[in-house]
Amino acid sequence: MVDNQQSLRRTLPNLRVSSGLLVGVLMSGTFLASIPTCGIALGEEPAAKFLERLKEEGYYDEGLKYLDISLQRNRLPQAMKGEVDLERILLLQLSLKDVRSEKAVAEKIAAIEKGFKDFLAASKDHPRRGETLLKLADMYLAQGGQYLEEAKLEAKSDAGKTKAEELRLQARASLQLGFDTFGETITYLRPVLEGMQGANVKPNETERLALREKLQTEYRQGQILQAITSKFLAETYEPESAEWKKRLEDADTRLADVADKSSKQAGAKYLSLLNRGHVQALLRQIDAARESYNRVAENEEPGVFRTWRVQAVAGIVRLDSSPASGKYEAAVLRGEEQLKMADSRERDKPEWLDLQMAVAEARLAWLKTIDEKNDEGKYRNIRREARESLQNLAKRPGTLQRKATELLKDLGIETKVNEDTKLPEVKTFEEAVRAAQGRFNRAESGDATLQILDRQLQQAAVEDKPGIEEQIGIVTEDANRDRQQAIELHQTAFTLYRDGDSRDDLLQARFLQSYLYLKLGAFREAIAIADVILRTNRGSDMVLKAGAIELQAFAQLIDGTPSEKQAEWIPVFKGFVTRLVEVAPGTPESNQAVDVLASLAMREKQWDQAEEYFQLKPNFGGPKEFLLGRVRWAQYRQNMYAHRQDGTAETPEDTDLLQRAEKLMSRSYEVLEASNIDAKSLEGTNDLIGLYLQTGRLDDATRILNESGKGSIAQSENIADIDAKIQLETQRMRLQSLVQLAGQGRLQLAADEVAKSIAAMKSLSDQTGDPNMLTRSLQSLAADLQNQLETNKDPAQQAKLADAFKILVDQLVGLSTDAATLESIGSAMTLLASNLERLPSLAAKVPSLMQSAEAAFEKLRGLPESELQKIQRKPEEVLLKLGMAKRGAGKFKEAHALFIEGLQKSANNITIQIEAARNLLLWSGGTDAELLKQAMLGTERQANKKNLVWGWGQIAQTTSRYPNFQAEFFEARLNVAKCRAQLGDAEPDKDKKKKLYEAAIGDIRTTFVRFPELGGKTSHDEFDRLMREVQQKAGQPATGL
Amino acid sequence: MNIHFECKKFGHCFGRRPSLAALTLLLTMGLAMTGSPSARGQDRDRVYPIKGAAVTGKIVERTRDRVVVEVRGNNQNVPTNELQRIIFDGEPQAFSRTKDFAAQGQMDQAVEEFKKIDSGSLASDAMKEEYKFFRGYLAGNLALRGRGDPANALKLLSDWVREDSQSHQFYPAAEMMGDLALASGSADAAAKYYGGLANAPFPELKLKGNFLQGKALLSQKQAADAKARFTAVIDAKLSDPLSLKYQKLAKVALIRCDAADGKADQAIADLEKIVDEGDSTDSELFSELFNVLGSLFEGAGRLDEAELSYLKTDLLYPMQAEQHAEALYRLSQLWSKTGNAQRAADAKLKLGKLYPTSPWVKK
Repeated sequence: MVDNQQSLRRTLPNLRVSSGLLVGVLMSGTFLASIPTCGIALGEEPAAKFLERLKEEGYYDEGLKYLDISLQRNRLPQAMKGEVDLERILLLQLSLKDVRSEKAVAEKIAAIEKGFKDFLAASKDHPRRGETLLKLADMYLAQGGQYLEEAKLEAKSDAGKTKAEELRLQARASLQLGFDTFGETITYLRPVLEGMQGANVKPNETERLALREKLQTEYRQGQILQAITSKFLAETYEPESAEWKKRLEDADTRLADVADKSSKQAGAKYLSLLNRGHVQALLRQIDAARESYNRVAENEEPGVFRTWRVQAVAGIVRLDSSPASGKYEAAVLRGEEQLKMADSRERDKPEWLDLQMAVAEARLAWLKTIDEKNDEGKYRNIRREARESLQNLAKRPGTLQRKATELLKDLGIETKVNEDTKLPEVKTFEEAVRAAQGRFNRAESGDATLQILDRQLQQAAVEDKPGIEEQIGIVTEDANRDRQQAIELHQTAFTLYRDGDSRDDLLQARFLQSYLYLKLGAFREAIAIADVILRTNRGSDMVLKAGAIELQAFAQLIDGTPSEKQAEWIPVFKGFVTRLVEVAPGTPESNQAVDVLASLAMREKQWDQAEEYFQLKPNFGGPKEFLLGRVRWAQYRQNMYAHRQDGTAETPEDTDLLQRAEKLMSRSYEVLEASNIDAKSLEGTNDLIGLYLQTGRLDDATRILNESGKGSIAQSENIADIDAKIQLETQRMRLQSLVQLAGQGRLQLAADEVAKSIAAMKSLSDQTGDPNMLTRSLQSLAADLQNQLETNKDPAQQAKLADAFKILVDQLVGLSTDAATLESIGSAMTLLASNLERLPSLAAKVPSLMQSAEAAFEKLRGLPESELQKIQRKPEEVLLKLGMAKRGAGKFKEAHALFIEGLQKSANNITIQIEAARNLLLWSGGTDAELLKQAMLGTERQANKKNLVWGWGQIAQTTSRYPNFQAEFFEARLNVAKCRAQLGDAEPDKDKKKKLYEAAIGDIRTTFVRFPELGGKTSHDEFDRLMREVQQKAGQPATGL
Repeated sequence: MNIHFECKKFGHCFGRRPSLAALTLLLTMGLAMTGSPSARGQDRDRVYPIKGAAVTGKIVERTRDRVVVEVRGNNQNVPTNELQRIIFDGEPQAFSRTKDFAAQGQMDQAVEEFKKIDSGSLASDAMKEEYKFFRGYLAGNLALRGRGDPANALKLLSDWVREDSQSHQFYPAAEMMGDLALASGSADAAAKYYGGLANAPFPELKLKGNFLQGKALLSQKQAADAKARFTAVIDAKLSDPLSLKYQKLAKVALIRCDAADGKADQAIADLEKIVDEGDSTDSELFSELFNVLGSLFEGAGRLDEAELSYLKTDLLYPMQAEQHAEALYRLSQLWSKTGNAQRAADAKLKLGKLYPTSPWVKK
C-alpha cells in the first residue's frame, strides 16, 4: 500500500504534464477552429490570424494592445467583435507564465477568473462557451495542483504540518471548483453535440462540421481532465480513507468510460488508459492496472504516444516489483528492455529518467528478498546495478535527484562521505545564495591547493608520488563536487527568488553560475546564463565579465568542433558578438570577440562577412584586419591579372576592392606600435607599401618604408629571427620606390644606393637557400614596374619610369659580376621589354631596354663556365638569351651569328631553331624576299646538303611528329603562311603575287582541315586574322576560316 | 632524330590525328556555328506557354521578345511574356526538372536538381546559354533569401547578359538583376536593370518595370522621379491580375511619397482602405502595406500601432524576404527606442540570421 501511495505521488507531475499534453493532442487551435474562414480574410484586416500568431510567439501584451486599439478604432472584422472580451481573458491567462511575483500572479488569476465568469454569464449560447469553461476549469486544476505540491513539501518537516493541512484544504477547494467546472462543461456540451449528431449536420456544412469536431474534442478533454481532477482530489485526503477511495474509484470509472468511447480519438484513448493504470495501481487492482498499462505500452505510434509508452512501462515495472506482485526479475527485465530502446537524445527526458528510477527501485525491492549470505554473487550484482543507476540519477538535477541520493544512502553509499559534502538544505533565496558562495569559494581554494600539489608532485621522490597523486584525486573530486553543489544551490536560489530579495545578489548568483558551468565544461549552459546577464544588465560592470565568460565558452565549443563544421557556429556566435558590442562597445572583450568572429569567417574564406564584422568595432585596425587587407589586396591583384589576360578593364568593383584593401591595411598600420611588430606586421606593411607604389602614392609608400620604429625597414631590422624572404621583400619595395621616385624625376638613382640594395637582396636571397629567389624578386619588381607603365597614362611619365628602370639595370650590370644577379636582371629586362612591345606609346623604348638586357647577358657570357654552373645554367642557354636580346635591340645580324653558333653545337635544339627562324623573319622587315625565303625554307647549307637553320617549314615538319610540341607546330605553320604572304607583298609581278597569296591561303586551309581547333583559341584567332588579311589581298571575300 | 626543348613542360598529346567520324562531327559543328545563333534548335523542342498546351517542334527563332517554333512546316509564335519554359530536345532530365521546379516557384528543389546537371553533357549552345542563366538566376534567388552573396549572383547574371542579351530569359534576368542590385545597396544600378523590363514591348512588363524603377528611385530619395513612374503605372489602362496588383503597389508607394510631404493621417486612412478592400493572402501587397503603415504610425508618434503593423509583416508574411527584413529592422529600432532592449536584440539577431546579406542588416 505504501508503495502504491508513493507511486501516486510520483505520478503527480506526470499528470500535470498529461493535462498540458492533452490540450496539444486534443485541441487544434481556438479562434481558427471556431471561425474557419478567418485565416483567409478577403476584404478585411487579417485580424484572427494575426492574433493567433501573436499568441504563438508569446506576444501576449501586444495581443491585448491589438485588441484594444482595433476595437477603439473600429478596425476589427465583424466576426471578431463579439469575442474580444474572451480573447482578452485568454491572452491574460497565457501571460500568467511570464509573471513572477506571487502577488501579481494572484491578482492576475482573480482578473482572469472574473473575466471568464463575466463572459459565461453574458454568453449562454456562444459557440466558444465550452472552450471557455474548459479554460476556467483548467485554471482551477492548475491552482489546486500547485497548492497540493506545496502541501507535500511542507508536510516533510514537523514544523510544516499545520501549514501543510491549510494548503491541502486550499488545494481541495480549488480542485473541487475545477471538478465542478469540468462537469459543467460536459453538461453544457452534451446536448449541443446531441443536436449536431449524424444527419443533423449535412456534409456540405463545412463550418458546422468543423464546429462539431471542435466541440467533440472539448467534450473528451473535459471528461479526462475531470477524472484527473478527481484523482488529485483523492490526494487531498488521508490515504486509504473513504473519501480517498471514493474519489479514486470515481476517476477510474470516468477514465474507463472515455477510453471505451474514444476509439476514433487515439490521443484521448491512450491518455485515459495511462491515467487509469495509475489510478488502478493506487487502488491495488494489479492485474487491471497491468492490462491498462500494457495497452498503452503496446501502441507503437511515435510522438507523444512514445512518451506515454515509456510511462506505462515504468508503471508496469512498479506494479511487478510491488510486494503484492513480487515479480522482481520480470519487472527489471521489462524496464531494461525498454531502456535499451532510448536514443541518446531521449535519455535525459523526464519519462526516461523516471523509468530508470523505477528499475532501480525494483532492484532494491528485489534485494530485500535475497539472502545475502546464501546468494552473495547475485546479491552483489543486483546491488551494484541499482547503485550505478542511482548514482547516475543523483548527478542529474531535478525531482529525482534527491530521491536517488536518499536511496543511495539507504544502500550505505553515503555513510562513508564526510558530512560537509552533503548538499545543504536551504529555504530562502538568501540562504541558497550564501551556501552556493561557500561551495564556490571552497572549490576555488581547492584549485589553489591543486597547484601546490602539482608542484610537489614534480619535485617529489618516486616513493612519495602515489600519495600525492591520491591527494590530487581527492581534492579534484571535492572541488568538482563543490562546484556541482554550488550549481544546484543556485538553481534552488533562482526558484526561491521573490520580489523582496536582492537583485544584485541575483545578478551575482547568475554570474557565478555561468562561471561554474564554464569550469565544469558545460559550455552551453555557461553561454545560456551569461547571455541572460548580457541581455538584461546593460550598463552594469557584470556585463563585461559575463561577456568574457560567454566568449571563452564559445571559444571552447568552437575549438571542440571538427574544423570542417566550425563555420556552423558563425550565426549564433555572431549574435553574441553583436550583443556584446552593443552593450560594451570598444572594450577589449568586445574587440576580442569581433576578432574571433572575423577570424572564423576568414578561415571559411567569407571575406565580405569578415570585413563586415570588423565594422562592429568602433576602433579599427589590428593584426586580423591587416591580414584581411592583405587578402583583399591579393584578390585585387588577381583580378588585375585576369583583366590583363582577358584584355578587359578594371571594374568599379575592383576599385572598391582596392580601396577596402587600402583602408584595412592602412588602419592596421596606423595603430601598429613599435613594441608589437612581428613577421605578420612586416608582411602587411610590405603589402601596404606595394599597394601605394602600384597606385602611385609614392609619398605614402616612402613614409611607411622609412618611418622610425615601425616602418618596414625598421621592422625588418628589429624583428628577431625574421624570415629572409620577408626581408628580401622589404628590400624589393625599397628599390622599387627608388626607381619610381627617379621615374618622377624626384631622385637621381645613385649607383652606390643601387649597389647597396642589390647587395642586401643578394645576401638575403643566399640566406633562403633558394638560388632562384633573387631572380623571382627582381622579376616581380619588373612586373610591378611594367604594371606601373601600363596603368600610367601620361606618356612623359611612362618614358621617365622606363628610363629609371633602365638606369637601375645599367648600373646593376655595370656593378655586378655575380652570375645570379646578371641573369636575373637580364631576364627581368627582357620580360619587361617584350611586354612593352604591346604598348604603342612605349614600343620605341624596346630596343634601348633590350640593349640593357644584352649588356647583362653579354657580361654573363663572359664569366667562366664554373660560375654558370653555380646558377644551374648552361652556356648555350646564355647564348640563346643573348641572341634574343640582340634581336630585340635590332641587332639581327649579330643575333643570327649567335644562333648559328648555338646550332653548330646543338643542331637539333628546337628552341634555338625557332628563335633563329624568328630572327630571320623579323630581320626581313616583311620586305626582304631573300630573308623571308630563308626564314621559311632555312639557310646555312651544310656539307650534308641540309640547312643548319631549318626555317619555319622544317620546324613545322619536325614538330608535327612530336605530340608535345603542339604550340610550336602551329606557330611554325602560321609563320610559313605569313612568310609566303609577305613574299607576295614583296613580289612586283601581279600573277606571281596572287599565286603567293593563294599559296598562303592554302597553307592555312590545309592546317585548318587537318586540325580545326588550330591549337586553341588564341592561335585560331591568329590564323583567322591572317586568313582574312591574305584573302583581302588576293581579292577574295575576307571570310576567314 | 632527338630534339631538345629545355624550357617547355610537356603537355598533352596532340599528334593523334582526328578520326574521320570526329572530323565529320567537327565539320558539322563548324557548319552549324555558321548559322543564326537562335536557329540551332532540334525537331522536338517543347515550348510551354503559361496558358495552353505545349508547342512541340523545332525552335527557329529565340529572342528576348518571342520564340518561334516550326511545327510541321508552319511557324508558331510564342511571345516571351506568355512563355513559361522551354525544354530543348535532348537536354538532360535534371535540367528539365530544374526548369519545371523553377516555373512552379519551388526554388530549393530547383537548386537541388540544378546541382545534378553535368554541364559537359549540354549538347547545344542554347542549352549552355540557358544553363548559365539558371546558374545566375538560382544563385540570385538564394541570395535574395539570405543564402548567398547578391553581388556574386549579380555578376553571374551580368556576365550572362553580356553574352546572351537576346535570350528568351532576358526579362526574368533583368528583374532579378534589379532585385539583386537593390539587395546589394546599389539602387541606381537597380533602376537601370529594371529599365530592361520597362522597355519591353509587353504592356504588363512595361508597367512592372516602371513600378520597380520607381521603387528603386524612391530608395535613392528621388521622390519626384519615383512619383512620376508610380503615376504612370496607376494611369495605365490594363486589367490583367498582375497589372492590377502592381497598380495597387504603386498606389501604396505613391501614398508613401505623399505622406513624406506631410499628409500622414490621410495616407493612413488611404492605406487602411486598401487593407479593407484587399485580399490579405496577397503577401507582397500586404507586407508592403503594413510596413508603410508602420512607418507612418511611427512618424506620427503612434508607436504601439507602428509596432503592431511591423509585427503583422513579421508574423504573417515572413516569406516576403525584402519586406520581412525591413520589418525586422524597424522592429529592432522601435524596440530600442521604447526600451525593450532584449526584443530589439532578438529582432536584430533574427534579421542577421535570416538575411545576412540584406542592406537592412548594414543599416
